[in-house]
Amino acid sequence: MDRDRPPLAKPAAIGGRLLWRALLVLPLLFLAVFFFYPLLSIFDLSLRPDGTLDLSGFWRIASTAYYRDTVIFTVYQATISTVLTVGLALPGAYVFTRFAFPGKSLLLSLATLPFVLPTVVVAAAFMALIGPRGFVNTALMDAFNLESAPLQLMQTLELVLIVHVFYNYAVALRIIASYWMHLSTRVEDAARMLGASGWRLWWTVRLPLLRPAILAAAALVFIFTFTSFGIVLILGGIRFATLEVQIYYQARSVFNLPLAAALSLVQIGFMFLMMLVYTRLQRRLTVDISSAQRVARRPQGWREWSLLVGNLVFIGVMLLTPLLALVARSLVEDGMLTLNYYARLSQNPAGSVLFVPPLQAVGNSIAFAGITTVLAVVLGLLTAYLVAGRGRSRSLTRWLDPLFMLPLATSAVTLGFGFLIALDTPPLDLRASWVLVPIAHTLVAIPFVVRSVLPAVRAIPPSVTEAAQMLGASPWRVWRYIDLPLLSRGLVVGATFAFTVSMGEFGASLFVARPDNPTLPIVIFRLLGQPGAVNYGQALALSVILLLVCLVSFVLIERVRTLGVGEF
Amino acid sequence: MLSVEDVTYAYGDVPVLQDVRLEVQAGEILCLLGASGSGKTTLLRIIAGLERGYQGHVLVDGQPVDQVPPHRRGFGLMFQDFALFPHMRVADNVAFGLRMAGMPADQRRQRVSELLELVGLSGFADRDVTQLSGGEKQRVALARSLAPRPRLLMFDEPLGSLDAGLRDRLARDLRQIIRELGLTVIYVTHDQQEAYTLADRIAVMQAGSIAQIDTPSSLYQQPRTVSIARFLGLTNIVPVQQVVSGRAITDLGEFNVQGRPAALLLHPDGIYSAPDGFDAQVSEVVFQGRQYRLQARAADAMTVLYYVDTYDHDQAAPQVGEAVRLAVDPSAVIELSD
Repeated sequence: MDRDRPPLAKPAAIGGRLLWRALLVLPLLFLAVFFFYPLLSIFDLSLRPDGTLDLSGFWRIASTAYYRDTVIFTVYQATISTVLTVGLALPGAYVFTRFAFPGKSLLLSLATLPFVLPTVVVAAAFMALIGPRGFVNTALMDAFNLESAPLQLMQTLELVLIVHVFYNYAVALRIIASYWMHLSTRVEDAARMLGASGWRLWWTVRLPLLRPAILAAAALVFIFTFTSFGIVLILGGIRFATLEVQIYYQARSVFNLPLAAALSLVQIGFMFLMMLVYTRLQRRLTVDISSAQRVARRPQGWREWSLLVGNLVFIGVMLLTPLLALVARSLVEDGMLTLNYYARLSQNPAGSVLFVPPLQAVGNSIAFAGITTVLAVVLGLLTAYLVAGRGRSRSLTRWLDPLFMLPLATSAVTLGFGFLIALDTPPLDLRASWVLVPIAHTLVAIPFVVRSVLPAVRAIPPSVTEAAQMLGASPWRVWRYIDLPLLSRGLVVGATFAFTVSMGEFGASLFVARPDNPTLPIVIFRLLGQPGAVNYGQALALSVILLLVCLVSFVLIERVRTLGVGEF
Repeated sequence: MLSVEDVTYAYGDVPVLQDVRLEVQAGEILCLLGASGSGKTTLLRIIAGLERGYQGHVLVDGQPVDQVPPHRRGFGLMFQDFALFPHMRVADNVAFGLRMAGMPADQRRQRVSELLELVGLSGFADRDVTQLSGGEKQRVALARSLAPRPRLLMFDEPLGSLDAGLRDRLARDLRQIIRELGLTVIYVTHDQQEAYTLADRIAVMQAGSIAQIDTPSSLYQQPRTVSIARFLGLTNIVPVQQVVSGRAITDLGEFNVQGRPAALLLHPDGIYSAPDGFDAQVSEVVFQGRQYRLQARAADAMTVLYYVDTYDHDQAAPQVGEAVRLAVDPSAVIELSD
């Protein structure tokens, strides 16, 4: 048997091992330079604006009614948004838990569509629906021969709240429904046997049982709406400034960097507290779930049918009308169906707010998104290996995982602002460079890639890679022939997420994108802020382009995900 | 062919292997037999090169291979969970090692079909490995590890996850294939029947050391220590009170011994009824087909296990409660150390 074998091979060079370790350090290095360093700069600037400890910025926030109101308003709007969202999602969750109906899973996944939609697209869509030039107003004006738009929702709190519900409805629905589906029906049956019914059943049994899910959903929605930036900036205006908008305003319009830093620190403090609350609440979600699975059934009687139909109509109208209005409105000029707005995208009219033709922004965004995708996939994959910690100590990986989620829990405006003040001095003077945009996007995209790839990395049995080694595969070939094919689905999902996140990113880009290299969302934002039908139409046309990119991504992600179920 | 020299290994503070020495001859099947936690899988992984940071040496034909990574050792290892590549068809799984060795595709195809035929899976080449039964997976894993003609093939409880009936049949199939190919094999198992079926020699591992290496029959007939005897299910162990001029004094009488054993194993296969034996009372009778398996309670509540052939017409079928006198053939008195 041994005759035809070559003699034993020479020991392996240790270079491969070192290279692998060096690669694993890359994501940590990236995080340190582009996340923690800017974050520390914010701390430094807010606490020591002139090199000595000086807390006057905070005193100004606390003592000036205007800034105090900003903080109060931020909490206020987030609270109302949360109550509205959870309140509307609760009957939806009931319907999804209790009733079986055709297209249920499709609808549930469709309901998450807003999650991948950029804020500028959603803002433009709602303007196309109920803005002064929107469908509802033009229809009303035509019908009643009105001179001006009767529905004045722009720059109102109501509009901001509606859009927040649009964005977060599915988040609350999913959390509550998935918890509810795993709750045993027996407790409820017992309560019914004891005479509870109708409202008393809700108050005494259902709501208390659902408390963990409702609180977790509320905490998450609160976090999202607390840091809402694009929506408030575009639809609310400076009159309804949240902390995010105020930071942007102070940093970019008033150039009061110390005050912006102090506001950022207040914001970071709030976020930190809320993330703490959320993770505690989320942990409670995993306990006291009874194994008994609730069986959904067909609705019976007119009350159940109307509840079902009512909720489905609500979801359909809320999701579809703004998006349809956006597409339709971008195709209509002076009551005529036309592609004019699209045709004009390659021109840069004189006196425009932009330095470049709008279409060039599409190219910019695609290029940035391409770079972001490559960076985020490479770094995210390395992070996943680092976090999965093959054979490494568990205690190390336990704090690595949340560490890489931090950029997601930090608002985009804080990130952008941090870049602005941290990366402006040698050796890292990147202010004038376009690379800040893909770097900021990568920071936001890495958590999505890690979340998509990490389960797949963890699912590769160690014995499978060892078997490949025993069959003569070098570490590189083990990765190439075993790991890579097994991770491909996760990588595709992660890459698609990274691309989509980059295409739609608004808050951080607003800080770091250069005027001659604007991204698509920024051009849409600038156009929306300008008077004139052409600007408006172009903004809508660009939003439709961005919407299509996100729709394709969304379909791809959902397809690959559902394909993955039940395989291996 | 393979030598393991004084290998010591600890996982954190927990010692796993202590001064393990082992020689495997070319063409031999060596079984590592031990309870779970005895360190047998760790020893296998060290030989494979999958475990580092041990003291001592692993040598192949006299050459240390401690610095040689697993993929360059030319060893094969079949895992307990088979570790098939879930994203590859049966044929691609089997061909993987050949591909890594750079064999051209047409030769590869030829060898894969030979191997699939050898393990009785002709026609399975294009199957998805996730759709196979446990026994089929085991055969694919075997074909895959045979394909690159490893100089040493190791098995880590390859039948452990299969049910008992299948296990016995596959153990015999495996033995035939290994013999046919003249492979050098290290086979890890906790099942002594499996070890008896397959092994030329058995190394019993206990608490990180090799307690005894012997042929299956010597091991079964002459275990060296009390714990080895217990592990093999030989429970007729009588403590020796003292040894006086070559006679060991026990609760069950005196026996001739050569050394100074701590205890004696009265091998159940050498116990018979005889008028000059020790007194006992039958406490359990199990009919097993060709024999009765009997438990008898002797002095000091010690239970003695022995067998009576069904066709031994000199003896009536034993009854529970019956008083018997039992003697031990001198060759069945095994001296055990602690």
